[in-house]
Amino acid sequence: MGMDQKELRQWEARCTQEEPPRCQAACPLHLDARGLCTALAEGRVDAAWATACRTLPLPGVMARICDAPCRAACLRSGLGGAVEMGALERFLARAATRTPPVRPLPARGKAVLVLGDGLAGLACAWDLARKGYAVTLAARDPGRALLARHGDELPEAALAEALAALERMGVALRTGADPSPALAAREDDPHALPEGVDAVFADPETLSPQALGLGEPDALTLGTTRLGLFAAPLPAGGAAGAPPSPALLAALGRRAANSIERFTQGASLTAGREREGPFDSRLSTDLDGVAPAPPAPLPAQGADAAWARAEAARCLRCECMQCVRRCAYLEHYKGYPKTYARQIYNNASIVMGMRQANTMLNSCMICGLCETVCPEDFDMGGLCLTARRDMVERGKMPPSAHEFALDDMAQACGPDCALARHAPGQDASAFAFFPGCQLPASDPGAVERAYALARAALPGPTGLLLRCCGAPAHWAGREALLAQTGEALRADWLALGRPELVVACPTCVLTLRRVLPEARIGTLWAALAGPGAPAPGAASGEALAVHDPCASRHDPAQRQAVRELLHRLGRTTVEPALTGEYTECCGFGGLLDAANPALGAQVAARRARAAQEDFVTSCAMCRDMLARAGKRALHLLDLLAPGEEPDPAARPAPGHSARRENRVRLREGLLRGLWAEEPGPRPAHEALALTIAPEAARAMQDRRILTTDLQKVILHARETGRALVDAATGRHLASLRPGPVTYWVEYEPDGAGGFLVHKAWSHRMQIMGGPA
Amino acid sequence: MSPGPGPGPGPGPDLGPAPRAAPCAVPSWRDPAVRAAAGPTLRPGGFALTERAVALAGLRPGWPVLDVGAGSGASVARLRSRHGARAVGLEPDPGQLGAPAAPGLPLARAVAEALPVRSGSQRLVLCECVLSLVPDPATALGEFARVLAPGGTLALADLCLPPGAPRSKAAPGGAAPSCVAGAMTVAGVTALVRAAGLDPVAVEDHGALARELAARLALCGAAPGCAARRGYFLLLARKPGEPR
Amino acid sequence: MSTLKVLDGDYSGWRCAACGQSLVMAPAVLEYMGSRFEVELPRCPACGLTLVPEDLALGKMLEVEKLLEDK
Repeated sequence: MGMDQKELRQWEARCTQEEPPRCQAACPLHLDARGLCTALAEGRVDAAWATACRTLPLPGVMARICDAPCRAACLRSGLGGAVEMGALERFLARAATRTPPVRPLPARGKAVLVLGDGLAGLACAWDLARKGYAVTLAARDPGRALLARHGDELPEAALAEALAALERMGVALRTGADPSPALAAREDDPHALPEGVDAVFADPETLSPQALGLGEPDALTLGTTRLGLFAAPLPAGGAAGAPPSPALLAALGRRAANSIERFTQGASLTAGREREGPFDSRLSTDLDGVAPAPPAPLPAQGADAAWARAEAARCLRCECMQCVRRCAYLEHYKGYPKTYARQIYNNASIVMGMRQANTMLNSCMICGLCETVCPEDFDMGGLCLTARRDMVERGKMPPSAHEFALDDMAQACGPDCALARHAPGQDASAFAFFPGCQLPASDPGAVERAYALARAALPGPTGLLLRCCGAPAHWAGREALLAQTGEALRADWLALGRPELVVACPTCVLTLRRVLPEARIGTLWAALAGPGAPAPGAASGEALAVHDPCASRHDPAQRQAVRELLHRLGRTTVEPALTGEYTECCGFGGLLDAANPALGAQVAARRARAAQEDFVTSCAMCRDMLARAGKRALHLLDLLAPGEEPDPAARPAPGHSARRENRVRLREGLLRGLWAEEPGPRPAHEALALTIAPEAARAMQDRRILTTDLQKVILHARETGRALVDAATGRHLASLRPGPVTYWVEYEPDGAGGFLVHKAWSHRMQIMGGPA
Repeated sequence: MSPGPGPGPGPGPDLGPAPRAAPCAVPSWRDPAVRAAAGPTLRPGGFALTERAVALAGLRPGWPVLDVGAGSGASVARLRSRHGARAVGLEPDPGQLGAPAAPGLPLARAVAEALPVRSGSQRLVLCECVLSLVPDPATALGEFARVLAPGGTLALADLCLPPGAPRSKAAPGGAAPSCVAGAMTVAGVTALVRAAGLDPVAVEDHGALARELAARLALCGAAPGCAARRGYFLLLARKPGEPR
Repeated sequence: MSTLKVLDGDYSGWRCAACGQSLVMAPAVLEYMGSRFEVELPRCPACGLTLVPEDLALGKMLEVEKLLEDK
């Protein structure tokens, strides 16, 4: 299994999105102020009140006298002033049309005596009654002190209603006399509780610990040395003579109720209580771009619905989501890293059911943006990559996810495309130009021109190394394949005499540093921008937006070299909102485009919208992804070593077949042109001349069907005679399964020795027992 | 003529679904194409999984066996004819009972929450692809435990949710019960089994069977329905005590 | 298990180029990731050449491939 429970917890702990907002953490009763404000800002008064009632004991009393300690923690404080929670609570207590009835849990068969005139005692009785305890509230005159302290806010009727609600919840009220004698020591056993009572809470306003004579109760549990008796000192107030905080008093009662529940259930009194009182939330909230807003002005006649709505709307609804806001992928799956970690864990540990997270974890671009913006460095890419490796190891990776991309890599590393040569006329290489595999696929001419540029600029003989660095294997989680690719690469590099690699692809730079750590690796851009490079040209041309490839995120020198070259070319540049170490992926990274082409296109389209100007970038794949999204985009080499193309920013991205063909043609052209060698013969099927109908060409691009696949099918049909013929149209239909995919072509001879292709489709299921 | 239903489609008797009433809204079990896809038992794995269950339980001839949610009795017929078990089927849907899989099958009408069976009388209780349709699974499991003899075995097979998934809400507006809505996680089922006083002794993943059923439904053009996004498990639990 | 009917269309317009016969519906086994399904497909009665039409390949078959890949 990829991830165990402990690792899952570690991943989860790094994502703070589920942490409560600071206000809720600071509230001794943990009122969900954010949820309350969300409902209230939408005008849903009763829903907001229901939120308060879920948390507050005696809500009709508590909401009217709350001292709102949350305000000290409110992030709005520095942006106009904390949200006026106390006033909002009072408004709700007055304006709500419906108070949800309290439904106590089934009876526990345990009796609790609460000696409680004050708020702590009332709150304790409330909480215990909710939990299903048989509570007797013994007091002289419960709540009287509250009326004395908060008379202007707390009408007598509200207190009466709260006491009536307690009775409806089954609390027996025994009022009118001093309840303390009930706690007098029993003659038979001085430590025992009164007959028939399982636990007691003594409200500090009724019976202080001093009066009990049992020493200081335990601060965490409020337990005393008389087992089952819980008591508390009055909470330390603010200024001398100031009334004690109602929120803290109620929280004391809640703490006592929690202890009594544990005590009577035989559960640990101490475990897992760290967050019972006020605590510091770890929730990170980005305040960038939040405009200050002063409190809503209170109308002369007092708080009304319009005021409450406006004031609640000032709540920032604190959440983290910093990575999700910046990443189209994280946004797409409608969660955040903590939920994704759980989904990925479940996906891996699944014994029962579908692996529903397969596509999700294969869609991450592994671009590092989330980790860079996350205050806790949550790295979704690392998580997804671990999961992919695990799936590969256990044979659970869906074959269709990465197969096409890995085939592409195999071609780039294969005999038709790979090449390792010293420069023409040289028998050693101090340097070797390494263009990667996507630049040859995207623009083979640019590779030839860049190689010429490199040979002229570098201070030593410069060979050429054409092959794939292995990044697709890395992204696909195929460690063994990556190692194998690395070994082949090392063999070529050793054969060239360990030259310094001069690389024109940012992803190759990253991968080469991983698989060939002993090599010196630099970028073509740094080489061209280094000492001895030409002086800056005069400013010319429209301004260009720089798109930093995600692979250069943590390579400031590389990004700087690109800007330096643009400066010397005389181009003015602008930066999109997310740039440099915060740059966005083009949608190709992590093989997103292979595993989830629709989302890949969405990501590319989003990046394309990040700038008005034409983009310029140093990554051939980024350029092509942006071009596919309809954005005008240049590769840096279009400026450094321009070709014949009159408007290179408009050059369409080649399709899948053309990309592979470009690699083959590049190698052949270089062999002929630079080394005067005749490349080996091409396979027979490539000689078939195909004309592909536009609709079929589009389908082939979507379905990842290559022209060579169709050539193989048709040649096979010609050689074996195995085909179908449509009686009406005379069209032929043939199929072939050269690998794990069966290809079908509907075609007709074009009368000139070639074929016109009308349709092409494929499937992975295999027809057994039939010779299809 | 053998009373055991053979493989293959064809007219034959109404081999209705094991579950109660009109089961899954999608796919419609009344659709002939769907019946062709799902086979006579209309549940993932068909008889193969029943065989696996009785093998694990060590079924011997003469054992009293109860099949809860027996439908028209396809499994009851097989348990009697193939294994010599004194198998009896219970089924709440009178429509199912009206057209038994074989004549003279001991089938009776009853819901899983109230079994008209003597306590401690059964060596094996079989409940396949049914519990997720029962309105009160905890009570049903209590009944299974009650009717089992000490040392007796409960064999439970059903759709399940992936770990950690919340149980889906009941179908709104009193719609027909659906095995999709009622599915629980295996952990949830196991907890209920334990709460009923039975000791789980084996849990097996048969998700592949659910997927293959879904694939067959997809090939027939029906919505893959209940099986597509669910796992399938087989759980055996033993009633404590020594068999008599 | 029974043979599944997966196609509705008429494929008799297709003729086997080698045998000259019209295709007829016949059982065939589809296999993917260890699961097998017996279905009816148009086939040459003489040599067995079998047709998988485009809408079947991109419809039901693709759906089943994805289902089985995620198990």
